Amino acid sequence: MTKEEVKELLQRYADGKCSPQEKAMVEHWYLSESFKQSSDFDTNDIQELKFEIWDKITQDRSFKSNSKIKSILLWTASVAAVLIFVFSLSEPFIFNSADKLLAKKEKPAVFDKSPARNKAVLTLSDGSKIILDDARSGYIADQQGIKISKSPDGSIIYSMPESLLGNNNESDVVPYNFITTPKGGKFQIILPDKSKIWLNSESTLRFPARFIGQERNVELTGEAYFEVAKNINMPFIVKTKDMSVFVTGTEFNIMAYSEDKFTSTTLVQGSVQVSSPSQKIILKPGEQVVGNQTIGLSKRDADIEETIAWKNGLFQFNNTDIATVMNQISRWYDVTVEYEGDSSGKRFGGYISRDSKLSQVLKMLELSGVKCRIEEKKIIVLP
Amino acid sequence: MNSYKSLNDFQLLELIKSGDANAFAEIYERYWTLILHHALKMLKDNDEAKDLVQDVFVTLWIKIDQIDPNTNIAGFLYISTRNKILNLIRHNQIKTDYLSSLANFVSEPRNSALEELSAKNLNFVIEKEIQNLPVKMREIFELSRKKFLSHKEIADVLDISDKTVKKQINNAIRILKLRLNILPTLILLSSALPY
Repeated sequence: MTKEEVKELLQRYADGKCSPQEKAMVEHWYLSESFKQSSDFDTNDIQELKFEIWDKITQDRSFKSNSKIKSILLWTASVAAVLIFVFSLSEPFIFNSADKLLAKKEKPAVFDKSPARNKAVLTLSDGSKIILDDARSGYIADQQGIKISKSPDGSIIYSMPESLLGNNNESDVVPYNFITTPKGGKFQIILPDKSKIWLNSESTLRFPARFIGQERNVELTGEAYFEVAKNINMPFIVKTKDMSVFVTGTEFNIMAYSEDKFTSTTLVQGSVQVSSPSQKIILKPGEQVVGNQTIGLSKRDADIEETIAWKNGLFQFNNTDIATVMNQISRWYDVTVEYEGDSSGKRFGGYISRDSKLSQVLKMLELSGVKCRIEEKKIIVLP
Repeated sequence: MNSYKSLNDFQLLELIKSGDANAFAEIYERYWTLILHHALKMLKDNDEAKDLVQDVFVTLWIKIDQIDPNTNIAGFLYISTRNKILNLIRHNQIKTDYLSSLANFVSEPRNSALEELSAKNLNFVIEKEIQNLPVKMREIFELSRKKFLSHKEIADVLDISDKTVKKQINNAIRILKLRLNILPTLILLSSALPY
């Protein structure tokens, strides 16, 4: 075959006019050819390359002309370096070294924020609101004989008097309560069935003051970790906007913030069934379901440590995009986040205590190449 | 906030179809090194390889409405890359004399059974086999394949020794070889391993 004939063959291939045999031949040649070739380039340049090509893609006319994307592009315009900072677990005080490194550069802090505290609002069935914080403990209120109190460690406890035990009259109208944490707040609650729930910042749990009937139903917006008390006869069901989680007794985490496009449920112990109107998925410990009705639900092996880090008092990231990182910081410290310029798609890894002050967290980010400026209640991420 | 990295390729594809640039950025994050490396192998030219990666992702973006939701994105990107390279070969714009190589190949006697498998099928088979690897091995393999981390970096991320990483990657390749039983398919895999 001559070169001209080969060109014609490739032309037919490009036009989709090859016979199946010719098509297979071209593809097989291509595979074996690419198997023979080797390449090498300087891996030190790899992150810069990633930047460079991504910038070109997002500046391409046909990419820009797509109006769908303009508004979102501002904060994702640049996928920057994959910054893997893995701090040895044996050295929890990473800031000792970070502080030393930064001691010279450090400017006097004009503004700082303390981490999230025990802070929430409890709304009773009659609409009355009770502000919860660290200050008070002891008796709070009564809901149809259920005593609501606050333990010194900061949990809200719903306890059922013995006279109500065994009273499972479904015709009773059960009062529903809400507990809502603000930005910069968190709380724990123990429901009358002794299930314990940790509520992360900016989250709401709706639950009955007392569980009666066939099911224990609660609703969640935001993020919570559940330690559900075992009761095979009365399954515990958490409803969220994208999925429902059905359990009898187990430990799991749900992240279902209303502004997120999708929800995730991560199983730590036991077994749960996660469902949407069109799908049912059973999880084993260590697995996660993520998605919504439109894109469907999918199952994967979860990064348990990263998922439940918040409950264990840590920020923990593993090649996590900067938007996710800043979002967590924004909730925990009750600050808003803005992005200046194009450079916010960076990836970040590492961990730090959630008891740290905001300035310490930002210092760590800076150490990893993410520069920020703080104005009153506002973090500005610099390119 | 739920991170896009927890979604699978099909879910990301759905989101890109609705105009979600973050989902598109996540797909870029997952596959750009694979494509760059492959392009460099074939083109032997840094600038052309970079242009090709750009071209492939812009094409994905432009054609997103025409892509079936069940499309394997890795496969789509590979085929798109291959076709663009074949076009460059046709126009004789590559240093290597691929035209002669293809001319010789066409004239050689060969095993026709192999050719029944199109690259698309192979790529699909590979993806499926990777999903079937033991969990830890798959984790290491995917970190190396998709994230382009060195053995040392993977060892740090997973808190294991780099010897273990190397062993696991070799095991993964060996298992894949056994399961797939076709050598050329490993092109895709070996091209993505750190050196």
